[in-house]
Amino acid sequence: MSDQITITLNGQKVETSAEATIREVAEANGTKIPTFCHDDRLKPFAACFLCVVEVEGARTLLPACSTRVAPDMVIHTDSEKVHTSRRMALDLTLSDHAGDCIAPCESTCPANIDIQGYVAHIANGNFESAVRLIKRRNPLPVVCGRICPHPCESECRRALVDEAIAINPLKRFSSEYELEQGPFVVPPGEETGKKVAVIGGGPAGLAAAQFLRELGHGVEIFEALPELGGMARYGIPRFRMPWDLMDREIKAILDMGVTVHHNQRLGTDFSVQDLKDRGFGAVLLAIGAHKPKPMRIENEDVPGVMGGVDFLREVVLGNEVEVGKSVAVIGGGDTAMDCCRVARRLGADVTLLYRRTQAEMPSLPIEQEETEEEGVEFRFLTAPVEVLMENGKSVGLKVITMELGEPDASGRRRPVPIEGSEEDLNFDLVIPAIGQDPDLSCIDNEAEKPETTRWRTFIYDENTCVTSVDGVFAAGDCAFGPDIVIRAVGEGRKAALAIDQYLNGAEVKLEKEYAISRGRLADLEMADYSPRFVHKKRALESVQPAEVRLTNEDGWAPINMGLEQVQAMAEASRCIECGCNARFDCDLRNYATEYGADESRIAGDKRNYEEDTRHPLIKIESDKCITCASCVRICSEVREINALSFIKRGFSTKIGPVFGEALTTTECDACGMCTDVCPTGTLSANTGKETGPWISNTTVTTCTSCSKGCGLEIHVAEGNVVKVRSVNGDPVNGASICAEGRFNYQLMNGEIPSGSPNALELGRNILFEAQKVVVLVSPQLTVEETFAAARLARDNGGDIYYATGTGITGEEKPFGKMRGEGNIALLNRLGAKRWSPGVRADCIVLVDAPVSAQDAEGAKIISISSVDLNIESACRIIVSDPLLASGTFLNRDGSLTVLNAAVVNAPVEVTMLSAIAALTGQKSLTDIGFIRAELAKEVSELAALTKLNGERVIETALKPEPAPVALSGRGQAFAAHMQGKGLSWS
Amino acid sequence: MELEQARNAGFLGKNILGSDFSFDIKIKQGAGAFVCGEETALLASIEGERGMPRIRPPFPAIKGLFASPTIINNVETLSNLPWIINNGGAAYAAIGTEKSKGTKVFALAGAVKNGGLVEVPMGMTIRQMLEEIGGGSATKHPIKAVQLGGPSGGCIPESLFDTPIEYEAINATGAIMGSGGMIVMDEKTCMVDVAKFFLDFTQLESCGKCTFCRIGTVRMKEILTRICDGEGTMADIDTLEELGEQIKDASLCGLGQTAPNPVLTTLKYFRAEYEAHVKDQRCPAGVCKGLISHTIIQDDCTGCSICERYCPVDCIEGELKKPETWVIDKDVCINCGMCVEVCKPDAILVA
Ligand code: SF4
Ligand code: SF4
Ligand code: SF4
Ligand code: FES
Repeated sequence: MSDQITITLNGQKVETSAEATIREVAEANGTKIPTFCHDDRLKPFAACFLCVVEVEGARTLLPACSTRVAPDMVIHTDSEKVHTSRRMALDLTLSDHAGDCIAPCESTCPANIDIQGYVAHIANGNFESAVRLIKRRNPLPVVCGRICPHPCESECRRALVDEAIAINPLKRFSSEYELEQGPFVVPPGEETGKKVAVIGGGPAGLAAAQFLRELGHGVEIFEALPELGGMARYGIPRFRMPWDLMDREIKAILDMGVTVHHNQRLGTDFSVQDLKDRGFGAVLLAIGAHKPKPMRIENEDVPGVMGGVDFLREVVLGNEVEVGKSVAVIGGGDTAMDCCRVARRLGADVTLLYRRTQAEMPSLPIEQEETEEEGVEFRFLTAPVEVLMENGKSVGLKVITMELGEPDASGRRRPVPIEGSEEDLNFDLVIPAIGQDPDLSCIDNEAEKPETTRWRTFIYDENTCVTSVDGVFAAGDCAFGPDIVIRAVGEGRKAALAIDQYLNGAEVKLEKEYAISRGRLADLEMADYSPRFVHKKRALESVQPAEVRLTNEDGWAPINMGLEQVQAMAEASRCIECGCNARFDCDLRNYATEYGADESRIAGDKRNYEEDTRHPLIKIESDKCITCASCVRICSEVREINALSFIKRGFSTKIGPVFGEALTTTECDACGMCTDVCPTGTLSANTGKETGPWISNTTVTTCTSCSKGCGLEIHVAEGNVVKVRSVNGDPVNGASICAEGRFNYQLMNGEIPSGSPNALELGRNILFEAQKVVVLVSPQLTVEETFAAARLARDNGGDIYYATGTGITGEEKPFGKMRGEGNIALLNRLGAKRWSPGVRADCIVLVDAPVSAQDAEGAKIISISSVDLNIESACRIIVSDPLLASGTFLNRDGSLTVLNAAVVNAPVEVTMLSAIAALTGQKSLTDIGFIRAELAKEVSELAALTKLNGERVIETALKPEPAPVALSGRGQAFAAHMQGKGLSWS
Repeated sequence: MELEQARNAGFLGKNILGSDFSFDIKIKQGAGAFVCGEETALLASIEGERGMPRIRPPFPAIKGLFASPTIINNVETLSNLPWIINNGGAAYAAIGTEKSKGTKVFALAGAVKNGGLVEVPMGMTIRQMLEEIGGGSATKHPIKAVQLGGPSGGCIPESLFDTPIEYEAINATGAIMGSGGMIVMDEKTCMVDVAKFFLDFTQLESCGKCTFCRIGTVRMKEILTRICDGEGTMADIDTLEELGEQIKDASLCGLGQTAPNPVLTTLKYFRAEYEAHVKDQRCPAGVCKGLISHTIIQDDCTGCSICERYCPVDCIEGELKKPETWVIDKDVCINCGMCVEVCKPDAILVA
């Protein structure tokens, strides 16, 4: 026992061992110390200086990770000085860090949908998962999939290779596919008993409704119009946004338990004050912008002139709209295009007047193209100056020709009238579609009126949606002014989160996670991207030809047919996965958020783009390295391998395989421990879209690939194992794992061999007919599986054997795989014998144990394994992977290590245990509790089995009996898997 | 060779001069990295590892070279030993001051008449050293500061030249005794440029281990370069100071802890020079190329044409012996200063 001393930690007297470091003492007392270069498996290093603390009397700040405490030391871990220094360390680190925490498509999307994540799901053919992911940010993917102008695509980095990914068509494909199957209704949260009134059932209001329900708050929507959908319904014609799809998508939101009051107009039917009086804890104003902007010319209020959004709404409402023979639409945006196309469908000749040229038109080029194809005449550089009137009714327009002058604030060249170029044109209907404003007259009579801007929007905090009135929030077009649907959706979510904080009495404050970016698309080099990928054209959605568009269902049938499934999957696989694979667990990112760090505060020269994928299992993105050297040290100190080293010095210091060669040329044996200790996304498994990155759930289980019984942290996303990591602090094997433990989950993602038809029944019949049965087991089974196998042998009057090997070549030191060794103590106690070629039987049951055809001569074989055992079998039973098994494993020192099945969409339902139970016909053998109780009776040293306490490792009294054993079937399969990748593993 | 001789003579090696005392010396050559002057990096380098400092404790005296207790001494220290052995410790201690005893060797260089290695008793003032030993300014411009302690030392301005040479007093100025390098600078030296020069050195010599030293020193150099190029801002000066303080405070070894000294001391004593670069776009000493221009004062010119011959970019023209014809083409001039060096009558104006 070392000496105990007393120190003062943040004002508290603390007793501690004199041997401890400041960090150890702090962590033991609940104070977290940030770190990059410290890992419990490594010796203190002191390089990152993130862990600094202030020690009274010391000349400088001290690294807590490696400074030992001294008697009466007075330590501050959270002083201003410490905070400033840590932030500076982060600022500096980030200033030399090149990466995209999140993909540019996601950060450009106003609702920040995890595009990379859902595109990966689509590439894997997992459309439902894609939609589940989309709906975490956007409750209206079908609506957006049809009409979103997709700002995300304009920043898509694939454009640096060939063409941007067809992101929106992919969203549309997956969400409509899913709408057919589901649709997926987001599960509401646990009821809080609080309720929120949402005024306006457009995109902002609907989005807020979903997220509020997810948070468990009651939601009632008050909608002024007969139907929900807002501008998506009343401002967009149904040949672009089919109503049936929209209705079903909205229903999925309402099915979360949302009450809707139709035809209820604020200011006419109720007031905000009424709602508060009726017990709504918060009110969200999401009334949109439905009032057409005036042209500010003579006579524009006369009959025969109708604002664009008014026109579209009247048509949707089914009201008679007199279009006459000729219609003028004024404007260049999407609403103007829609007005033209609707007026065409109502039978008029349509002329579009726009005061600049086509190049300046804000609507999407494809919309312009389609509009023109439908026979609309475009007249550019033409502006109205007066509505011509006869008998109190408009008969046309006086227009003037314009020319382009100097660029204005938006960068577009300002149109200026050419004097004397006026001209009179006749129209039956004039539709100015030059924008819209919120109609705020509805709050005129409010007792407590939210303040408004001079653009007739609510004054609100863009980050929290808070207005000037307590408990009243605003979102969508009525708050930021008219914009695209997805922006309103994003605001709806933000408002919901803010309202949740408000209702919980917390300070309303939405935190933004730190994210670094490589830069805007326009500032990046094609040379860094283009050569790395095989070029492939973007998938195109198919659109009906103009004649069909105008005639099908009188022109109201959907015109865009979208992508086919194969097309969608191929398109999704074009994504080059810009976002960092560490985005969900990067220490650098997390600390940067926590300390408010900023890469641009002290900017300068930084690392260049660099990615090394030459090793088939380990990827190195050295532009993200922060030189903590944890990888170098785990490799040299713990593994004693030295595959990684420092290259160069000073600012140019890099970390990588020695001499900058490929990792495959070093002694690296692909244990991947470097990827576990790397605090950033520099070192990671060299995997692709099948592993995300997505948010994952983790389970800690035990590896059964050798006699060591290492802990494995299994990461599961959407029912698939996406990553396996070592368990820091695990008592077994120095908390380290080998390549087999880390990567054999890949066997599950590969081709699963098929079993015999009706395999279990077939197996029972074979056993029934057999005279002499032998059960040959792999010593890598769980304790419970071994017991069941022994019962299988006993019940069939046969013997149990284990597969022997030629020698133990594993390493004694606490690291790496123990090759060829099995602890056969339990097998011995259950009466198992060493397999020898002389054993003859007419039926051999192989339980993940290999046998040669020669040895099995004359016997019918029943093979049970998660892999192909490479032997001709009369009956082949394929069971689920051991990573999905529960039970215990007897490791080489005689302790039991616990397996916790990871919850996945297993490709195979049958487990090893259930297969053996089915062959014996004893249901009880699937009951782990039963087996443990039996085992405890039979093998008294394993009594601990009935008293498991949640610990992963449990001591037993069973004396270990190490023996050379054969590789299990799965072990062989993994070796073959590695060979397939050009790596040796045996 | 000397070691071999000593060994042959029985002064070194096993059983020295027949006694039962054995002692040997082995000289090991390093690769010359500056950071290997740091003791733990030195040890790592001798062990054949990357020359990179490590945390202390354990101190080398407890666990040093090949994990054995190790005492590390400078050659300068060791060279004092013969004298002390011959004359006794008391005699040595009698030299110098109360806290700093004995003598110290300086490498006096720069704008003094007599440079070279000088050994002075502790306690002598800087002014005495410069005047009595150095013989005063070697140029026609007065001395304005000395940089003391090598690349990671600090600048001491003329106003503090009466500081005695002893550890505490020198440290109080922000400089260090360090390796004993003393560089003398006259009025024609730009302090920002000097700071940049030293930072450029230390930045390259950082071993790359600690965040602050590895990245921070580069950022300081970048800011100094910006200031010298006339692209600095006042905020840059504050950042420079902040960075300097932070690097000192959060680096593992002496290199990082002292690297900002040249910047911090020049900022402390010559802040006005920094501000002149930023605010007035002017380098008061006429050194920073981005901020100066060269013009021929025709009144002083003799028309000798030597400048024309030395100008590396051929931007000087004129007719021999006709001073009124000599001009420098400012569009081509790279402000290298070569003409100033060679012009005998000092007819080139740098401003
Ligand atoms: S390593 Fe971390 S900080 Fe860097 S890009 Fe990846 S997630 Fe972002
Ligand atoms: S390539 Fe993929 S991740 Fe990158 S911007 Fe495009 S869609 Fe997003
Ligand atoms: S690659 Fe190595 S040195 Fe770089 S951040 Fe990751 S663990 Fe640290
Ligand atoms: S310096 Fe202490 S954790 Fe990195």
